[in-house]
Amino acid sequence: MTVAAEPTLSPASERLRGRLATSALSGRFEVVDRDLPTIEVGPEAWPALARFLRDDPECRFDLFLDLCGVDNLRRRSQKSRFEAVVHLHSLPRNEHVRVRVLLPDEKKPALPSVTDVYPAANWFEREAFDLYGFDFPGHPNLHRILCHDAFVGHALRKDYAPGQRWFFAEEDMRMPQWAREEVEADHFETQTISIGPSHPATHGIIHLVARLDGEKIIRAETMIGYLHRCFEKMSETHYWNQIIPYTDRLNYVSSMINGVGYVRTAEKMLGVEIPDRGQLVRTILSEFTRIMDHCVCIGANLVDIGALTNFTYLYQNRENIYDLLEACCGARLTVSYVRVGGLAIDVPDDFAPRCRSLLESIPPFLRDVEKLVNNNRIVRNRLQGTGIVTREQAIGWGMTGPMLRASGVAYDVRRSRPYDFYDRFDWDIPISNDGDNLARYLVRMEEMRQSLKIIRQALDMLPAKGPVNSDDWRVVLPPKDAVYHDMESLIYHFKLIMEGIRVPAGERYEWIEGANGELGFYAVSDGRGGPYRLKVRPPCFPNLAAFEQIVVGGTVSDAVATLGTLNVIAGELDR
Amino acid sequence: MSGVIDVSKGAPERLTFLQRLYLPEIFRGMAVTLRHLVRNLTNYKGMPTIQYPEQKRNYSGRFRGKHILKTREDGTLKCVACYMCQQACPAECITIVAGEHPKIAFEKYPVVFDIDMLRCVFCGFCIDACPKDAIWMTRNYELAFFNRQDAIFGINKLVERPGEQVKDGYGYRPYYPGDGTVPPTDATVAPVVPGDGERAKLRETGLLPTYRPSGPRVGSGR
Amino acid sequence: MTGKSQALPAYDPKPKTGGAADFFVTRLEAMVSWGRKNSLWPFPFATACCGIEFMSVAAPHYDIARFGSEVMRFSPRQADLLIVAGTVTDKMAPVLRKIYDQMPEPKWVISMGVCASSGGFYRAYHVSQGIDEIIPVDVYVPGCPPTPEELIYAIMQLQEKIASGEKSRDSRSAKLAAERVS
Repeated sequence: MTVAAEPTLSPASERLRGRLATSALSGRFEVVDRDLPTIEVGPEAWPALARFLRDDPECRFDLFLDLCGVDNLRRRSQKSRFEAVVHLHSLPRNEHVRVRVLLPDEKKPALPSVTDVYPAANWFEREAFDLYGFDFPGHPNLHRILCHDAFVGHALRKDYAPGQRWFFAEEDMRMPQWAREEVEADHFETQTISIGPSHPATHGIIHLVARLDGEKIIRAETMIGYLHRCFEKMSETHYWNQIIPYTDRLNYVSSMINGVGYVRTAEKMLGVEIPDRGQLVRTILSEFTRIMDHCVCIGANLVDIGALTNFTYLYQNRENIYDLLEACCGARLTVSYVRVGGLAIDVPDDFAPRCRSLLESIPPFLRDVEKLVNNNRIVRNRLQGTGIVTREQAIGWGMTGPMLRASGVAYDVRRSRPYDFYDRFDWDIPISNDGDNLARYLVRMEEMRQSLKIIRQALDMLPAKGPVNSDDWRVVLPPKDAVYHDMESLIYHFKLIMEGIRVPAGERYEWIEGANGELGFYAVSDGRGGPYRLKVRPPCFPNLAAFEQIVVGGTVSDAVATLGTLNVIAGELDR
Repeated sequence: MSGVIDVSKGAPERLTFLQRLYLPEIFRGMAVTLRHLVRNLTNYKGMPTIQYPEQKRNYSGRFRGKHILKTREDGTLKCVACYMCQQACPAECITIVAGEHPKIAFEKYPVVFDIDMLRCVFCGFCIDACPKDAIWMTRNYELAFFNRQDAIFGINKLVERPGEQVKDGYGYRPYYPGDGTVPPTDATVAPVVPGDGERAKLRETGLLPTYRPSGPRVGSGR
Repeated sequence: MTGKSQALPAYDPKPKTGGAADFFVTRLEAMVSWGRKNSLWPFPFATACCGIEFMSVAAPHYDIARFGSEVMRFSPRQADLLIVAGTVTDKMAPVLRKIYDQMPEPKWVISMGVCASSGGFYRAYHVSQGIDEIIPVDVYVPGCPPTPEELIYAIMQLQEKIASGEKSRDSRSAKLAAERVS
């Protein structure tokens, strides 16, 4: 086994290289240092490497985060046209690693499937097949997942025109093979039904095909892609700042958090620091947005169960936070408030008093909901003991966020890799060891309280005055006063608007804690005004991938309750 | 300092006998809902419902609503058709066709300035991009159309006529009163030769400054 | 319109695009229109972010129930107002058409948000550039997402349209279907 020699590597990469060198793996690996330790490998050696990375006691990369394709057609001096980029996380060691699988065959790019090593890879590989045409021999169900079944071509390849659409009729829809068979269970006929895509209980549009034996689900498959809005292709045709409105619409119930994650990726690639005040404002608004997301999740979940009043109470919280967001940036839901290098405009003068009054007005509604729900027998019967996900299952399925925390793993990006002042606040991570729907509900309620705690501390630290933007005019638009009267500022302004922000060529994976879990952005830049490739690691994608296994054995009503606690936001799921 | 909370302690595994009986929980729950009901009935003004259209929500001065094109004192548009808003718009909803302005100091003006309201995502990037303080947003959101053609707003529907009250007031702007920004002053002095009517002379000498915008989307018309 | 009173106005199931609208309404028709416009039961075809703003309209802060839409009917057979809130992708288009076809007459369609009206800023390979490619539309509401007041304003405009007896709708669907067949 040959390992290419690198002059100086970071300690993490050096350790990885050492482990690979002393392992029994055959094949050629190259460990390079990018923003993360990166292992470059060919497709034949990839499954063995995956198994090694998961099982080796010094590595233990047990959480599968992301697999995406990259098409290097327009990028100079790359080793192969197609590559599959995998991100993994080690929960015991709190480290990320990237693996680039370079696919030599341009006509038929293929790499073996790793679903037997990482069950979470199932849907990610299907997405790479759909959008890039990679073949995954060994995959149990390699069909299109995001684009419709009459789609011709692979949409994210660089030679595919962004606007080329295909007509899709109802008869083109592919139903799973098992759904078309007639099966009897214990001499009783079974029914195959479609729950969704237009259904009051599927928040967002998700299609669950389920085979029922009476009321019990004996087999299920989830079909998604009904809101595939081509975010990643749009990000290749727009400039860095123009993508910010698109990121708002990813997880649209908590739009600010997506924006913060995205601009952090660009800022890290640029090496731009934003002032403390900007970071604190982002933190405060992100935490309010997290509260908004949990309000919708819990409210909608309880509506599905039949508890309608809580929705009205929790929605009032959202309306109050909308007042704050609208006063800051002018829009309630899709805020587009962040920019690369800071914020669009500074917060209004009454920002701190408004936040403090919100801190007073939110807890009474939460208390009301708890009084109605926590010890209610019907809610307990519906939520307790249903939709159980064990700790090993949660890690194997690549779950993050409240789903993982309710199964007993205390992984929160804000704690394990603090950003934007989170390491200076005193707050707790709520977990539960039960792993059922009630546990997720309780974890979300407690997370809202912890968010309020963080906001209180952040408000105390917030300076009353100061800049919120970086002063680097190659990145941030100059202030309007300068643009109107100073020629040099006008030129910077003009270049930024007309040509976009010139981010140096390279790649970066930046991750933050979204309301559903680890929200990651993998950006590849080639020096132009917009990203060359932008992949979103959506937290609810692997969460929902496991759904079809969680519901088997339970009834339809349990499936509805479980879907509510999963908090699937189709904007993020389908992008 | 910071730690981990186990929330399963908050909701015990088994409910108590009284909770399982369910009737006491019903009364406790109704106490919560009746409290809200009584509070709303006795304090009608404090009810959260906004009785639109009689009552309107008081949006802030940063609200991103319908756009307006600002005018100079003589009533002409401040816009010089520089195409920066068209380039900045992520939805490509702005269409500008530039014409030559007789005054050389202004150089250009928009012959056509269309915003397709059914493409616009109201992000405000056009306001951020404008270098001439020529486009603002208002707090007017009352737009609804019966067909798609009505939704393309041209200059007549977007312009702020001098002396006219803007519906619902100004919203998102490039600068706000009190932040010290001085709006751009109209250039009245030509860079080469002052005054009007010199354009033809300049064309002959070949000294007329020309502006060629870069980028494929600019000026291509959509 | 002849001016004679009729048992119930016969609604034309084929949408008329353009053409003369019937503005002369009898008292009976006026009463029926009044009843219809004040009890619109929406089918919230909520796909994306506009769905969340629609939920805000249903929530107590704005309360669409004040306009007669007390219940959200999630079965198209029981609804008369289809509010398409959010982006409709090509994959979702047959579903939308089916839901529209399942609704009994009289029915109205509000296209809420720019994504439903024109594709919004998603000029992309999987997004329908306006639901009028699929179904006929009565009212388009701009905004991304429209504020709840904007949606209520659009519903009021629709109510005026119902009261006036205007039946024409905006649609490219028939033309596109003919192009596809030929």
